[in-house]
Amino acid sequence: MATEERTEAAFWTQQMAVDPAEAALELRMEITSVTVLAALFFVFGVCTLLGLLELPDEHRVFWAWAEIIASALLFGIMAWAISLVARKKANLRQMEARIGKRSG
Amino acid sequence: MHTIDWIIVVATICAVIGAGFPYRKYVKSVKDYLLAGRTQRWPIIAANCQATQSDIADYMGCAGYSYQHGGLGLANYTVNLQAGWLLGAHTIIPQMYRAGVWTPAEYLELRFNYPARLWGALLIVLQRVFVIGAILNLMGIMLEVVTGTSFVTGTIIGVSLAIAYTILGGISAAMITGTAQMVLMTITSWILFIAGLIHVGGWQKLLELTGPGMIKHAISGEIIPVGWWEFHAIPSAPYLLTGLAFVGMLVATISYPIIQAEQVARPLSARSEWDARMGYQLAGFVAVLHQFAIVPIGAFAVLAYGYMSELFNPALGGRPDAVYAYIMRDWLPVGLLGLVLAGVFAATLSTVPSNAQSCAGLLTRDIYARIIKKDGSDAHYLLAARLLTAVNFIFGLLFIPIVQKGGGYIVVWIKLTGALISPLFAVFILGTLLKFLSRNSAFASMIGGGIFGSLLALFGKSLFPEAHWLHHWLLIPLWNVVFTSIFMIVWSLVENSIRGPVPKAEIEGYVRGTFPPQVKPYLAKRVERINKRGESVETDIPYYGTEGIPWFKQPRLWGFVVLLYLVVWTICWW
Repeated sequence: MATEERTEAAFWTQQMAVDPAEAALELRMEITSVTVLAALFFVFGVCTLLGLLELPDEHRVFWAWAEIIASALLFGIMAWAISLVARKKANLRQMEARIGKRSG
Repeated sequence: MHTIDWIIVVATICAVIGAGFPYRKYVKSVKDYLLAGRTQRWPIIAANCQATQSDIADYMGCAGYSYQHGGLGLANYTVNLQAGWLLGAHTIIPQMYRAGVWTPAEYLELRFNYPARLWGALLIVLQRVFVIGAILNLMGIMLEVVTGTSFVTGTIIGVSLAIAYTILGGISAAMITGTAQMVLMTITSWILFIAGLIHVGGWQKLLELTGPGMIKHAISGEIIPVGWWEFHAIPSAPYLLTGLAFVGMLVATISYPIIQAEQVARPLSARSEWDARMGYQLAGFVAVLHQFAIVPIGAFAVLAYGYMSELFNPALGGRPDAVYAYIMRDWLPVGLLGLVLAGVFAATLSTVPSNAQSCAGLLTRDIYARIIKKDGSDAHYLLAARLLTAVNFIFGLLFIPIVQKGGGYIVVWIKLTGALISPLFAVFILGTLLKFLSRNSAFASMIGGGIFGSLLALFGKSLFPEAHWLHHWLLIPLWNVVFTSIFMIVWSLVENSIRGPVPKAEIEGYVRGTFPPQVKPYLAKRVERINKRGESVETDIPYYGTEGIPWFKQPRLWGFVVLLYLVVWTICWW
């Protein structure tokens, strides 16, 4: 890589650099948010399924399917949130290891 | 409401307000939020633009609007907003990205002068404070209709939750409110839409039953000659010249992606100018996902409750924005009803505090710290911003009676935009496109346009009772943009003839097709690399301009595709 490109890359890396401790804190906040999100969508999914017990008399089949599909989507979001938490936790572990190395 | 629905609502409120609590001392200012690193790729930009645009008003307000004015509700979300993003991607966004600014008001100072920035910031704050009041109004309506509480109690609950959310650091849990809002409202809107089709007897039947000459005015008994699915005419004003209402609505809405600070901040956080432009011009397609299902709810309400019935007729004290709430209360079963209400709470809590805070940031940074107290400490400005956040909440509440009497959220938004805010749109677009515009022309024309628009809105009808094309509320933004543009050009010609034109070097980077001095070295190096080695691939380094980008990735090509879609879509619904 030419010197000028390295300088340019260094300039932008510097522009976009973040404090590792701050980034770790942000990751922790995100993990909390996504965990709460997963729990919330679990409640949504369960409540929507419970709605099957109270279906209106008119168009019962349609509403039963609507509740089932809606709850499936809500559980799907919950599963996505859980996988996101796992990924973010792995990122956090890596970052903390890096911070530990630097300070050590 | 059933216990299951209450569980959903209470769980949402606890999650949204409680999630940020452990981190409340780390909550950053909105300025910090806006100054996030330039790292985003275009799909994230597009999704973020859509998430920022979409709030409770786009559900309840949109249904109320399409109930009254038919196809314009559909045009608003599938054509007008998309046209605004497209226009922004080819005018203001590349220039703001190159200039390195973060708010539209900052750009006004660089291109024109400080008075332009000051007035622009005040207009932006006015519009956002109105949105705060309008959303709290919608929250009050929703709680009144669905839970049976009074409107005042519903509004107090909304305000209290918004304040608790702000104080307890809920803003750091924005991901929860954002996701809950988008997911819940999209799922339930499509369910409501399909339920509506089943009630009516299918899509074709809906088109037929709400077609020209099929609907009667609930009070006057008059037959409405215009259908709900046409862009060329509207049921509420069939006497308007063909297409005029559509153009008026287009001009009113197209300004949103150009002047709204939080919206503009999204592409400015892109990793490159290319990502910023692509994300912005493709943002509108995401809207179709959820908004297409909302608009027909207005038409379902026309069939279920009658057109302009007492319940929704603003002239008789009714509230058109309540259409969505009534439909969901009357149609949705247990479980799904709670989900919509949870989505409404999440939407309110994600929009109201962030609007109040961003307005406070704007007022503190652009006005208080520049004019009133120039040498204050950080702690002092933080206190000022917090007090101004509370003031914004209070001023927002003052808009509630205006929204209720003025014809609902979107109608009053257009009236306010037409009278005062549309000159800002003209200033941004012309400021980017025309190099000869003088320094003082922006401030002068915004004041001139504001006076013109206000006079037209207040006295147009009494002075020219027959000229509907002139004073109808849908058309005031159009005439105001035309007036402001002419005013600005004439003012600039006169000012330039007296003081001489603005030196080219001073506006370089702020008008279309130019690059500011601080960007030029990087641009030159990149062009050199392309020319010498034929590199045309993206690098990890953010870049400007479109040099070296393959033809199939050129923003202009994709801009043309979006334009083609807009034209074909408009012709189909015309």
